Amino acid sequence: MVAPAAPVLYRRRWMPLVGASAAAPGAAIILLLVLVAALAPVIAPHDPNATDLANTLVGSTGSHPLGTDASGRDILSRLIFGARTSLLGPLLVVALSTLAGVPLGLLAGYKGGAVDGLLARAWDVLFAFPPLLLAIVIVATFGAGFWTATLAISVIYLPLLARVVRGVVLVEREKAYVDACKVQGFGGLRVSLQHVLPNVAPTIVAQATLNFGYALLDLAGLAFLGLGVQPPTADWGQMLSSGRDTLVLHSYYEVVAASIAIAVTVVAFNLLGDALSARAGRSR
Amino acid sequence: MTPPPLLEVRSVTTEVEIGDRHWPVVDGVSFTIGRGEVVGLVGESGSGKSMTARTILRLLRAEARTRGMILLDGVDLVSLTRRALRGVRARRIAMIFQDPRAHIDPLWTSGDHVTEGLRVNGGLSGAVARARARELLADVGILEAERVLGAYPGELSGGMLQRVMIAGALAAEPELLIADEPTTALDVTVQAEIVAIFDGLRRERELAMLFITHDLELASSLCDRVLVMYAGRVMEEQPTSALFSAPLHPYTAGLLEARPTLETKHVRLSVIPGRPPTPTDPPDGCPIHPRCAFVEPACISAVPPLRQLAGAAFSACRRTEEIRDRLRPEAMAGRG
Amino acid sequence: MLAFILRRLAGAIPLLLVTSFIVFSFLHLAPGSPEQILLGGKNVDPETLQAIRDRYRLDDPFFVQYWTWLRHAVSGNLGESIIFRDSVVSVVGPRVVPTIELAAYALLLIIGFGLALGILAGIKRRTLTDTAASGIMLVGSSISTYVSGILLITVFSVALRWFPVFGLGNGGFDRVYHLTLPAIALAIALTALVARTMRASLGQTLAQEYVETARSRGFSERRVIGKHALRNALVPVITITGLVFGFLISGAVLVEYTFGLNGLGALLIQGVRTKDFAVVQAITLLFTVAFILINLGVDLLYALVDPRVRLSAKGA
Repeated sequence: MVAPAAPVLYRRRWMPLVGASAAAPGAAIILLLVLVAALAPVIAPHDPNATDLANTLVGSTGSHPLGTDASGRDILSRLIFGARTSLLGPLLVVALSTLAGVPLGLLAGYKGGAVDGLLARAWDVLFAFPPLLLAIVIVATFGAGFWTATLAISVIYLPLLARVVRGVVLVEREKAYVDACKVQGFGGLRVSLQHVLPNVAPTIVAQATLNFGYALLDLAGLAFLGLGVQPPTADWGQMLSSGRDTLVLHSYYEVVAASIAIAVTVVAFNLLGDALSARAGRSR
Repeated sequence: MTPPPLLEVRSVTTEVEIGDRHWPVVDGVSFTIGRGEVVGLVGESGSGKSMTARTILRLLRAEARTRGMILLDGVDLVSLTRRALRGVRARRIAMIFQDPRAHIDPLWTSGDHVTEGLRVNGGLSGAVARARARELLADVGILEAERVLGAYPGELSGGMLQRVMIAGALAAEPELLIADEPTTALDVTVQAEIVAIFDGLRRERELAMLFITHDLELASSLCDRVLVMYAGRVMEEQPTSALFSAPLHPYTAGLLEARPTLETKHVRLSVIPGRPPTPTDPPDGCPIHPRCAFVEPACISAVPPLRQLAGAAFSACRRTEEIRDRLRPEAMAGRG
Repeated sequence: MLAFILRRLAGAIPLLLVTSFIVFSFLHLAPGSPEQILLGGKNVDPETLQAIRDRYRLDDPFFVQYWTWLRHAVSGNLGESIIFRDSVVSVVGPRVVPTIELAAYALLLIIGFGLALGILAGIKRRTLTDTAASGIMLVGSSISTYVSGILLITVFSVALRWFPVFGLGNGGFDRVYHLTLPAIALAIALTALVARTMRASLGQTLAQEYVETARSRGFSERRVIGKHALRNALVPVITITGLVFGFLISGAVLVEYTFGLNGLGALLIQGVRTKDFAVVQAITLLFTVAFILINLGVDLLYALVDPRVRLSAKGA
C-alpha cells in the first residue's frame, strides 16, 4: 500500500531576516565582526604577538592607533586577531549546547513522564551550583585553557537550552496538529522531528543567538580570571586581564578597547536575539 | 409628583484612545435609576454596557474622556474631585464584577476582602468588622462564615467567591449597586442562586441596582426596566414586561427572536445577520442599519435620536410607530 | 505552613548530598592520580606519596572515601592546603567575612536601588520618569560584572582618583570606602535585573482586575498600590532573588579578583592557578551549600508572601 506524503499541517516557513527593524543593526554588526575575524591577517597593521620591549605602554601614535601593551604588542592588532578566539569560543559553546540540548529538551518535552522527571532532576543538580562556579571547578580539574573553558561553559549552558526547548515543546505538544498526526498513526519520533521541531525552531534559534552573547561574556570572564585562553594568545578577555594589571600604571587603552569590543558584540547579539525572540513569539 | 431619581445619566459620551485617536464607546447615553429600582442594561459584547458602568464610577483609565453629566442625588460625578469621588465609591455606589476570581486579590483572605472597606472607610476595629462580615455572609447565603472568612480565594469556588464579592460590596451599605455581568462566569445553577440573592436584597434593603447582562432571560427575571444598548447607544428602554411582549426596536425584537426555546421547534436558530461594528469604524446613521430587516434610506443618512413614546417607553428607531406590530414576538416568529 | 517548611527542608537534603558528591568526585575525575592532584603536581618521594594516600584514605572504596570526606567536612575538617601548608579551614576562615561584607553591601545597593527604580518606573509608566529609568536599566544590564569593575577602576580610581584601586583597607569606615567601587561593580547588572523585573511585574499587576475592585471601593491610590499592587508585584521579584544570589556569588569571585580583595573568591582563583585542590574543593563546597540554603530561604519567603504556593503544595 502506498502511504500518502505526510501532510504538513502546521509548518511555518522560516521568515527571511531582511526587513526586521531591530534585527538589522545587530546582524550587520555581527557580519562586520565575522569579516574582521576572517580577514585579520589582512587588516591588522602588526603581528599581534610581536613584542617590542622598547615601546611598551605607548599611547596612541601613528603606527599604533590604540597604543601598545606591557610587552610592546600593538593593541589594535591584538584586538582584531582577538576577534577570532573571542568569537570562536561562544560559537562552539552554542553549537555544543544546542546540539546536545535540543534532543534532550525534545525528549523531555515530548515524551514527558519518567524521562522528563529524570532529566529535570539532573538539571536541578546542575542549577544548584552557583553559575560560573561549576565552570571554574571543571577548569581547575582539567587545567586552564581555551578548550577546557569552552567545554566547561558548554556544560553549564546545556541545561539552560534543554529547559527552553522543553518548555516550548510542552506548549507545542498540546496543539491540535499533534493530535491530528497521532491519529493518522505517525510515530512519536516522526511527529517530534518533522512537525514539532520546525515549529519550535525559531525559539531555539532566538535563544541560541542570545546565548552567544552570554557565552562570550562568560568565556571572556574566565579568560579574565586567567582560567581560559592563556597568554600570549590574543583574546578580548585575556586583554582585559593583562590590561587590568597595567591600570595601576595609568595605561588604560587595552582595557577600554577590549571592553568596547566585548560590549558591542554582546549588544549586537542581544539585539538580534531579541528581534528573533519577538518574531518567534509572534509566529506562534 | 414622582420622587427625584437616585442616579441620572445625561447624554454621557465616553471616548477611549485607540491607536492615536479617541473613539466613542459610550455615545450619548441617558437614563435614570430611582431609589430601590432595578434597571437592566442589556446588549451584545462590545455594546458599551460595561463601559457605561465603569463610566458612572469613573473607573476608566486616564486616557478615557467622559462628557456629559452623571448626577447622583443632584451631584455631578463627572466634575467631582478625586477625593469626593472616593467618598462616593466608598459609601454610596458599589460595584461587583464579572469574574470574581480575577477581581479579588488572591494574596489576601476573603475575610480581609469583606472587611477591608469596613476598616479603612468605616473606621471599624478588626473584631467589629469581622462580626459585621459574618452577618454580611449570612445575608448572601453563606453558612460556614468562619471557614470562608479565613480562606483564600484559591480555596473557594466561583459561586462562593461571587457571594463574597457581593458581601464586600454590601458592606459599604450603598444606595446603588452596579452589577457587571455577575453571573456570566458561573454555572447556570449557581446563577439562579445569585439572582435569588439579588432579589432578596432589593426587597430587604431598598437597594437600587444597575444590572448588566447579555442574557435577556436573566434581565427579565430581576429588572423593573430594561435598556437595550448597541454600539455604545441606547436603542430602547421600556418596563420589562412591555419590552418582552411589545418591543419597540427591531434590534430588541431580533434579540428576543434569537433566544432558543424548548417549546417551539426550530428548523434553524434565528440570528441577526452581521456583526456589531468596531468603535473605530462606526456606520453612518443608525448603527444597526447594516443588520436591520426594516432599514430604509433615511436610516442611513442621520442617527435617529432616542425618542420618548407614551409613558416610560423610549426608542431610537425612526420607524417604531410604523412597524411596532410587526415587532411583536408572535409576528417575528412567523417570519423566520 | 510548618509542614511546607519541613517538606522543603527534606527536599534540600538529597540536593546537598548529590552536589557535595559531585564536588568530591572532581578530585578523581582529574587526569592523574588523586594524590598527585592533592600535591599540586609536586614531585615527592614514594613515602610521602603513601603518607598522603593514608591520610586521605585513598585506598578505601570510592563511596567510603566520600563518606569520610563528608563527615570530616561537616565537622570542620576540610583538608590541608598544599600551598599555604596549613589547614584549609585556617586559610579559608579569615576570607569569609570580607566576602560576606562585599556581598551584603552589593545586596543593599541592589535591593535599595533596584526596587526603588523599578517601582518608580512601574508606577509612572510611559512618562518621562519611566523612559529615563528604563534607559538606566538598559545601560546597567548591558555591562557585565568584570567589565563594569574595570571601567569603574579606570574612571574613578585611575582617572579621577576618587577611590582606591585595590585592597580591603583597614576596618570600619575605611573598609566601606574600599568596598564601595567593588560593591557597585557587583551590583550594577543585578540592580538593572531587579528593576526591570519589578517594573514589568508592577505594570502587569496594576492592570489586574483586583486593582480595579480596590479603586471602585474608594481606597486611596496609596492603599491600592501599596497593599494590593505591590505585594502581588513582589512575587516575580522574589522568584528571581535566588538567581540574584547565584550571580552575586559568581560575581563576587570576579570582583574580588578585579579589585584585589582578599576574600573567598580571590582565594578560589588563586587556588585554581596554584593547583591547591583542597582549597578549591572547600570553597566550592562552601559556596554551593550556601547557595542551596539561600534558595531554600527564598522558596520559604515566596511561600510566605503568596498563599497560593502553600495551597498547591497541600494538594500535591
